[in-house]
Amino acid sequence: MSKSVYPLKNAAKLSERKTGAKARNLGILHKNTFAIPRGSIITTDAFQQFINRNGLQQRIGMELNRKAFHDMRLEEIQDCSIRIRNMITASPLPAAFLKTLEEELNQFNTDRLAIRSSAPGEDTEQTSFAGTHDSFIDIPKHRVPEKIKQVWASLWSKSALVYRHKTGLDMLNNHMAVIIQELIAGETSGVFFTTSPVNNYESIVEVVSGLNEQLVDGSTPPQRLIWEKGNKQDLEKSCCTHTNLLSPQQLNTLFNTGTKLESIFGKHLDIEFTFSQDTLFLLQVRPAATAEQSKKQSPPHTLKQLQSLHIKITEKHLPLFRQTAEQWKNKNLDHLSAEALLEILRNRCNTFLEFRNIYTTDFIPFSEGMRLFGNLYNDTMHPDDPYEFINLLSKNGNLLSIKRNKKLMLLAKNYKKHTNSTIPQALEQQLQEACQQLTPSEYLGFSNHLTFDNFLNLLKKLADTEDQTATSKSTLQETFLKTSPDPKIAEQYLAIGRESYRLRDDDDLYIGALEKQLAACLEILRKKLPDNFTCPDSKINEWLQNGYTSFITQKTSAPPPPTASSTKARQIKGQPSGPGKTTGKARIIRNYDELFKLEKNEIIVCDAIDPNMTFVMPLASGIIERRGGMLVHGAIIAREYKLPCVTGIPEACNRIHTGDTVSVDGWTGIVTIHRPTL
Amino acid sequence: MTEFHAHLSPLLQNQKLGVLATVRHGYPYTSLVAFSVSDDTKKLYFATLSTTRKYENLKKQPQANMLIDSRSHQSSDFFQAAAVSAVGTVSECSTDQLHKLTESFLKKHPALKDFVTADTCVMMCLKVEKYILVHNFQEVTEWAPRQ
Repeated sequence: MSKSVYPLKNAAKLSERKTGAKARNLGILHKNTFAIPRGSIITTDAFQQFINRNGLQQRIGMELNRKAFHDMRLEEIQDCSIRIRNMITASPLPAAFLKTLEEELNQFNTDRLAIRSSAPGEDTEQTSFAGTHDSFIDIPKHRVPEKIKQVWASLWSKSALVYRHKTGLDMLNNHMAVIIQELIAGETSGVFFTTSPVNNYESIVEVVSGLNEQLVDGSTPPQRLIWEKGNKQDLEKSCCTHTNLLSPQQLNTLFNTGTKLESIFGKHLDIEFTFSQDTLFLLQVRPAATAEQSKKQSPPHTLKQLQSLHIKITEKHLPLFRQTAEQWKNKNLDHLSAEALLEILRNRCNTFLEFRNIYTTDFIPFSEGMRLFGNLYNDTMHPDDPYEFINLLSKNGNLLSIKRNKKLMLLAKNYKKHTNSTIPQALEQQLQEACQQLTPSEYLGFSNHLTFDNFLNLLKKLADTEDQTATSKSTLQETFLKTSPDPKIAEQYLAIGRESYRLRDDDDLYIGALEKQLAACLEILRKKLPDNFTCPDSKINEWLQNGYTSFITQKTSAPPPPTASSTKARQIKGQPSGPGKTTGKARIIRNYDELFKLEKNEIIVCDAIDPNMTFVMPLASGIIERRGGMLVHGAIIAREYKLPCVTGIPEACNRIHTGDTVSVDGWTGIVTIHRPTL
Repeated sequence: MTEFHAHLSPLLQNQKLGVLATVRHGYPYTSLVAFSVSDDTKKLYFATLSTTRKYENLKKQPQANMLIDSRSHQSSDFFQAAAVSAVGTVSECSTDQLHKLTESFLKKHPALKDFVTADTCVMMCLKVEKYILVHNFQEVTEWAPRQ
């Protein structure tokens, strides 16, 4: 085994291919007598040996080529990333490397370490990779080996994959070195942009109290100083009014350091630093980010960030959504004049657009909570199935759609008892109400063919079906919490994961309820307006002319019309989104009406499922969906009903026909279409 | 060009050898053969001596299958290689077409000139009833060309 661990101070003597850009830059700083935290480099050789010994190159290649990258949705890329991450974190480090690492770690005087990525080719002007690879701070020595693997795995993080694809870089053959440094718990930390990202005549310092991480992840707003580049007097003037975290002497040191470093590296720089007892330690130096790069905001991804987002959603947004939907529903619109209705519609439209914006900015990013928990679960348990964690997210049918379905099942059983006799009045009323609740507005893109007879037919079919919803595996939870180094923190991750899972499915129902009332108002207004009426509001006018375009159904777009093809798919590969295998007749669902044609044990084939459609799930024996992902609605509901599910099948509705016998293998993600054949 | 044909054409044009499966005593019997393809991709041609087992097998049972693939014996084959099975019926090429077919076959396989022009060599034609294409590890698509 070749030598793969070196002191950080020697980094400038090694090639960048071995050390990565970040470590090499730190080596150059040390060579030029700047203070850097004491540290070591794990070179790319260690990474390569680890990959080769565990046969990971081939497995990663298979994962990256599961589907053409340009055909993958972001969620599928994220799933691909989670699978690769689990392959890496579950593979053992070579014993000889572990021994060398242990010896190296014994030389550190502290148990508080920073573990940072250092990939060749990153931190250059052409390819910055800013924020795509992982770094960890305040790590005790005994956890360094697992953190090294996590840094390596971040070569295939979602953002790294997307970035490489966009810039045309190789996605498979990559290398990563890792820096291990003593953590300097400075009193003040920050980033010094020797040249502003937005213009080239100013310099900026952003500074926070304590460690730099809060600044980098955006959780603490920094104090910011801007001055004319190279003008020390201007800096002195602005320091008096804009910061109390840095003394004039410290700013002077920073100013001089920036000037020297620009001359050494020959370019504008972003310098991460910390001051500890008036000594300036340089943590990282890289070519200045462009305005575009610095504008890029990473979505919330820490437990703390997601917890505060959760409070915002549950305490502010959801009550507002519920209250608004209730108010809209209770308002009697029938007797109002066209003018009054138009005014109400305008207000509802504005409110709805505002809520839709909230949905996009807060609800969608909150789904990150599932994967955050998933990574912690995988790092703790190293399961064979990287999506085993989903079994812990479902909490005995606490999804709104499951609750609704359970009520519907009870009603179906009750109705069955009376199919040969007169239906009691109370039951008749319950049936009418339930039918009403399932009836979508015709303006939601459906043709509104849910007659009471159709509804009763559905109930008859449901009455003969058993409730198959999954129960969460408490032993799995117990083992996970027992294995976790910090069970209290693990519980918090699990709680956020569960809420993220629940809201992922429920949020569409909340938006759907609002949309239904918005459409109802439009429906009444249309009947009252003359044919040639033109509304000054272009959006409303468009709806009045062409009908309402549903946000929900737009999101879960209708499948494209069938195209003629002389080739026939026999086996199609997608994402294995719900474990299990089943064979049955396919039922293509192109619109709401077709949901009611579903027969017991048929396999649903559709473009995309949303929770407003899932009341027929108890009848299905499997799901095939065009939209791909392990955590899309179809996959979530499939797991709840223990149905084999494959998602991400391109043109599913065109390649499979109603009545085809199909097999769904939810373990491998393969759908087989059985046709009479040679 | 459909995705199917985008995979099929390079296999038929660029690969020189295929594995021909015939039936012998109720068991599959496989042989490596050099092949060429008609312009409309509906026929595959191969040459064999009239003394061979495969020739004997085909005389008794003309149904056959030829596997043509792009593997390079690297692990990347799992996601980069494609394979096609051509299912159909084999017959000897008629004498009126023989000269043209032999010429075209030798353009692809000049090394086989002596073999193909030997008196005992027979040019055979597999009329393809169906192509079964496998690519990207497990994607399977079928195409039945109209003869």
